[in-house]
Amino acid sequence: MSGRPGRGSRIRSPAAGRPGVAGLPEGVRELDHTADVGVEITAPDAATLFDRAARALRSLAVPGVAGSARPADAEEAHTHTLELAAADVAALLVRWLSELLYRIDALGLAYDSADIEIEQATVRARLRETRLPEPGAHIKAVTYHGLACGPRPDGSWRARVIFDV
Amino acid sequence: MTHLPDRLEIRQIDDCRWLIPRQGRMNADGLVFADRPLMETIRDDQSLRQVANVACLPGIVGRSIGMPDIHWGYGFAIGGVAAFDPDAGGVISPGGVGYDINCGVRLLRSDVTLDELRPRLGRLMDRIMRDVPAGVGEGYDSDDRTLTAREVREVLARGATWAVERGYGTADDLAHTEAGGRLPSAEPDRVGGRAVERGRAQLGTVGSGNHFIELGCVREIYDERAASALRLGLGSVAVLIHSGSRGLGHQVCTDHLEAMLSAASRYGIELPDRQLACAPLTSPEGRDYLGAMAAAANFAFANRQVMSHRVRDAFAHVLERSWEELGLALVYDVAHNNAKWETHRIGSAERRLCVHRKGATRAFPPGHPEVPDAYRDIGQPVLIPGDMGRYSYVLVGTATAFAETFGSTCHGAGRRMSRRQAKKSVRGRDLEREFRERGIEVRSASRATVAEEVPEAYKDVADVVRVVDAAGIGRRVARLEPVGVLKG
Repeated sequence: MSGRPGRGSRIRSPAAGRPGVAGLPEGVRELDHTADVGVEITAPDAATLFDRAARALRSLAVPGVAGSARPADAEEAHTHTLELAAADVAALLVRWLSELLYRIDALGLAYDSADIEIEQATVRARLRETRLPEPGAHIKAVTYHGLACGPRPDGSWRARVIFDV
Repeated sequence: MTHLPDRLEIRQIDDCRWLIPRQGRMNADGLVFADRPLMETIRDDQSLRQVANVACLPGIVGRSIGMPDIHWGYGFAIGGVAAFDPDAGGVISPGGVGYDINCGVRLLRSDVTLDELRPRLGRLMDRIMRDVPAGVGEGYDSDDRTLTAREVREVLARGATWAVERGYGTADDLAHTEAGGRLPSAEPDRVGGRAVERGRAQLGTVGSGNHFIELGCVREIYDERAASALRLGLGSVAVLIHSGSRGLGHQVCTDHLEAMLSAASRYGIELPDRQLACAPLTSPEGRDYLGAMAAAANFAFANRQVMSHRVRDAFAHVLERSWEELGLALVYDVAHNNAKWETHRIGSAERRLCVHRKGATRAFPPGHPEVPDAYRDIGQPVLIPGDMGRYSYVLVGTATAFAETFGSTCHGAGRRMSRRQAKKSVRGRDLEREFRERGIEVRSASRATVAEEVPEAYKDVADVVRVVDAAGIGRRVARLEPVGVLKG
């Protein structure tokens, strides 16, 4: 399942996200997968879905450092602008998360919140990030396995993505 | 688009083999090695369907194979083997290698007995933990251990030979490493800047997840002649090192998967799962990935070589004798995540094929030219780690494996529980004390990792090895039991 947003979807995500069950962000549910970890994400629109997916990635990749919690050992926020495109919105979700994972693992910069704009299969975002005590992530990669992302009949959005641990 | 029927037909052939006959859009049969109890657990997840999905890819030769430790992966199952013919439109798929390119295991033997080591075991584990970074974000931060981008590219070209040239080991180590520790087909220029950046501080590091350094004691020998050739003595201490190409390999896979997704549709390849993204072996995208993957494989060989050197130093320091005096020689280093060009007999003709092994170990038979001279009569050593509490096995490759599985066998125990279930199951337990009471010194960068990796989260590797031995696709030589484990 991969849909295309009919028109642009845009949000400015709040810095302080409300954690959902098991420390995951609101609208995110962990799926059991024997070797890896998967999440199902629901949101009212595409941009919110991308924000929630980013927060889920962060909470799984850097579990000791909760999003927006401003831990004492993390330095002040950092901003970064990016634009990514893909063949469809599901592949775009993997690109988006892979980009954010690279930033955690190689640069030590973890997603905090963002202004996100999604049009067709392109995302433009101004990221606000937290500098981690050191680079590194508990997950290796974002996979295309069992990937799904798109609108539901009621207009809300749902995605499923599996991370390689 | 549906590639397979909803109900997959599976037939038992004998006590250890199950056939998935060609159905739907499969271009070849599937063959899974398992006894009945293992098959019951395998049926619980999606791995059999994944074996069938791989059989749908173009140019597959022989059968799509599943090992007894097979479990649900992404795209290819973990524990899968498949060979492709470049002259028949055969493909290369990064998902058939995995994110951790050239993840593998090496075994060092020693003349040290467990009785000798026991009083200093705790100190030795502390020393190894100090000298070999393990865990998330644990790389080298000192200038003398962080590489420049240019040095990383040298490692990508030269593999373990790069490490040996800098004093991290000997020529004898290279002679006992798969492919001599260096794949000559590596093309470092095809590895992107991001991957190189991720590799700079990670050469000689364990990583997290199921990677480890384990000191084990040889507790049982099944084949005296082979054990003697491998110089494994009953009651002696040996070291297993399990790691791969770290963040560098993950980035290579991520970068090339993206390129292959668009390539697959351009070449008219319909994918049953996007994670099977692939391109013809002869296409520019296929060649790009093959060159980059071989380079990442070289990084992994060098990574394990540098770790061996630091482990030897730790032994020498704590036991106050040189590592040569302690007899800490490399038995073998073998990969279980890669794709390699190999020559195999198909019918009456020899063909050059690209063999994907994802969570499957190469297991070449006695007499094969790629088996080191010292092991030419017994077959290539195969290293099968179990979980951190029970045991690991040393096997050798066989002619049956060469004929039936492109010279491949299992790679480990396979998970039984998800990481979340495992963590939940050990809540409130003092794992460190439990391991100590079992005589195992555990060191770890993260308690959560140990919780995720508890022995009961894995199947019993003895069940897997029994099937491999009974089916003849590997022969048991020795069993090791852990006495010290370093986890990420």
